[in-house]
Amino acid sequence: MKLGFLPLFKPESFQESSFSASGLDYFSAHLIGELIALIHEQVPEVQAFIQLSMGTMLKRSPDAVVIWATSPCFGQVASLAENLKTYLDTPIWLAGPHISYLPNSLPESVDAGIIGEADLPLLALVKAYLQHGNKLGSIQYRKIAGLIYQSRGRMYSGTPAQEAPNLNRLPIPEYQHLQSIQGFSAPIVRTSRINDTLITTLAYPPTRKPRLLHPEHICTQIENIVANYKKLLAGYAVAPEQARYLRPVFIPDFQFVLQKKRLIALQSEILKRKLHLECLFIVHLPPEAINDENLKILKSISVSKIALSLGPFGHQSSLLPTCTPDFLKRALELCRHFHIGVVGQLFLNPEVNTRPAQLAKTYRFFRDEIQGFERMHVSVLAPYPGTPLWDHYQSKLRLKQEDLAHVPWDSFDWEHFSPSLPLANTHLDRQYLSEAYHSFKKLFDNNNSPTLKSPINEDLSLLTKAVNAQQFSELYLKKEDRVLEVVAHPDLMVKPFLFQSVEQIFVKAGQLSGPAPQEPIDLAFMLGSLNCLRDPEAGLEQIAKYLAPEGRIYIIIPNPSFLGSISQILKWKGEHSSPQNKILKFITPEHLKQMLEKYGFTLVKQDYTIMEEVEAIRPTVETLANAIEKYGSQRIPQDVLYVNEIKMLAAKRT
Amino acid sequence: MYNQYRQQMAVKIKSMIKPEHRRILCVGDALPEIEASAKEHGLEFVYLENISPDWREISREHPHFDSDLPAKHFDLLLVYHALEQAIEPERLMLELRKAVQPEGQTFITAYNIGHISTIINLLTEGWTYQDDGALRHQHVRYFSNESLRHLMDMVGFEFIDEVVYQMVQTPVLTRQLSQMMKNPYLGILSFVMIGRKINTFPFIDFEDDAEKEPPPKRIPQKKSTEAQ
Repeated sequence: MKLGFLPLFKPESFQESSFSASGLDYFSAHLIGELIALIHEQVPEVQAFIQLSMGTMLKRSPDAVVIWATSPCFGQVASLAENLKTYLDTPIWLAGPHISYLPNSLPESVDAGIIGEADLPLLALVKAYLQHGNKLGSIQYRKIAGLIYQSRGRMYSGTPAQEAPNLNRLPIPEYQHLQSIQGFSAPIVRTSRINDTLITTLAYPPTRKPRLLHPEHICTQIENIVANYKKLLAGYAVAPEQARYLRPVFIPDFQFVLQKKRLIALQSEILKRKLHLECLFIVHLPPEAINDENLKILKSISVSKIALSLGPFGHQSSLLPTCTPDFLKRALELCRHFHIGVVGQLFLNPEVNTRPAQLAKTYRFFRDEIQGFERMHVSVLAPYPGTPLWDHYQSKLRLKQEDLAHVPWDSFDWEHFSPSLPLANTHLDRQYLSEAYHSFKKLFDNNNSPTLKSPINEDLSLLTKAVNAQQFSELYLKKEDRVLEVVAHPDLMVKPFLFQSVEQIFVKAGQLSGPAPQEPIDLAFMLGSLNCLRDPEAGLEQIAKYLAPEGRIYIIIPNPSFLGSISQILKWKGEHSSPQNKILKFITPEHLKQMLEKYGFTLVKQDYTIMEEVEAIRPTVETLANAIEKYGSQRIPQDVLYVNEIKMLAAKRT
Repeated sequence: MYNQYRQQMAVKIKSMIKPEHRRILCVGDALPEIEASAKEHGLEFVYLENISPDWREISREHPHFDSDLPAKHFDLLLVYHALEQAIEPERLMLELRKAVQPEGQTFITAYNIGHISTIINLLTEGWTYQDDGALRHQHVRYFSNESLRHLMDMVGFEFIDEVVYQMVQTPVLTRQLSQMMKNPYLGILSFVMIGRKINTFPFIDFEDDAEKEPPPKRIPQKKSTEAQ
């Protein structure tokens, strides 16, 4: 028997030859991986496969087709089933979370629908087909638990679905099937079966009671993924120590972290099997789980990114975690401290009574804290079945069960605000929601870089900082030295990389902020922070007072003549004003030397950092310099244009 | 050079003030001619420096002015070389915005960091501060046409028009570089951006800002399973 799986994706996910699926599409596809593995193990004579379009499905001539639909693409089911029926005289079965939430709305051309978790009903269906072939009909469907089916124009439900008796003995998903999906990225590992979040509600069929997978079973899944990755990447020369950066694994359910004992058991199993050296983890967390203890554990097992699903502050939807601005701010600081990137999704209207003031408060938070996120997306939640908006929507528009087949589900687009979207919110009208959506989108788009920060680059940068700090320490520091660091931006901190005890003063709003050191300092660092002061001279004078006789100061300033910043101005980009701790004052090396001299320092050493790939831009620089020399009669010192940073070490005169 | 610029700019801004601008809030450098003229015509003219000289320091750490400004009161907000001196121009504008009437106007005057004289300064001497211009000693923020428009967008003022102050130096070089870099603003010394206060999200003024947050979520009590 050939069993074809046709996962439905939103039509716009396919653009010409490329495919950019949404998160739900990936979740949905991964679930099929589990079902195929189950069928292959339990019924080896069945050949199960995935096809992404009707055309390719027809070429494979399946004996039965399973259409797998999530809510956002349910609108395509009826026409797709009708077309399949026209060309294939085979049973068409429907499964997925949407049908599970609407147990009476089976499209006409679909023979049977699976309610709830699909494992056992699908297995029973396949076995029934093997026994009855094309004669499979309502008499057999009636005997399978967890099905709905049509007979003589009426809808019937079978007995209630059963649950898989022992979840941990279910076979491991076959991830190689998913490699046919272009753009396939981080494989998903579920650690439980619970519909406790919006994502799991929309992507997975409902389960009757929460069930957790055993840590050993979860780690075996991850091993399976690593093995698949190895097969996939076998043809490429990748250094072993870099290989794990090419193997991300996404863990979507909150149950991974919510139980401390289980998290520790998972950590222990992952470390025992050395999986943290084989792949990187991206973990979906509720903000409440972001604490020092959890992040230490997550960092130890190579968690490189955390994904958050958020609603406006003050919402009470049970499917999205709640948190306060203060808590989220602290959580972001903690993630930054552990060098774990944060990505997220904000749902503007997770409940019918979302208020404008809630959205405004949320916007103000993100305006101030957006730099703590590597990437954010904004969505308008559509009233899909299973969401908190669904009941209200249904009662307001007075939909009857028979109308459900005609609801244009594909016109609901939770990732883009569409003006035709029917709304059922009590406090937000269409115009307000549209303005809010576009404002958040603009804010996020301005912050989001085209690609996520690469974990390998992040780690290499940390390593470089550590090595540089170590070398610096060996050259200029003794173990007992008292060190002061003036910090303008957490990314530039040296404290984490030094063995010496380091005191810190911060630059806030152009001023030095924090208690003065109690004892004289032997070495002060100002890595870019001098430029973030409104009055650098006064700042330097202040720091000089903290130094012991013969104490030293190490200063890095960006080169004001660096071509990178000048070219931004020439391209009339100028600079935007919003980022915190931006450079306020540019300082020339001569001016810095004068300041050092004025406040009693002797220059010990001066050094430069030169930009990479100088040769690539040299022709442009020469053209520019020639033009200025020819028409402006000014001589441009070209070499200085390539200097990125200027570093000076100075000692206080006694 | 800059004395002439200041005189001409004051005349220009004065000519842009319309009869409906009855209440004017001015922040930044002083505009004594405009202030005198406004008072002579019976207009209300408030110079922020006189009542709240802390305006330059408005930031996350210092979010409000020391003295309260009346809310939604002024018809015109004159921002005259103020943004360049502000630690956080965006936050300053959001605070000033509160004092402007719905649909009120703003004239934002700022130096162009991309003027040819500044570019030459950067390329030849680094970043040498001067007595006036984009690189004035007290400046801590530096704007281009694009960044000013972006700022207006971020603080809830709809861009209506711009007036430019042109000062061409080394015309052949300016023309050459303009073509090379596709930068039309190399000859522009400063901009006056004209904007109108808009009342869309997230800048909408909440009359009911004191609106209570929904009550905290109640955790349902577990029902007793014991038979009554």
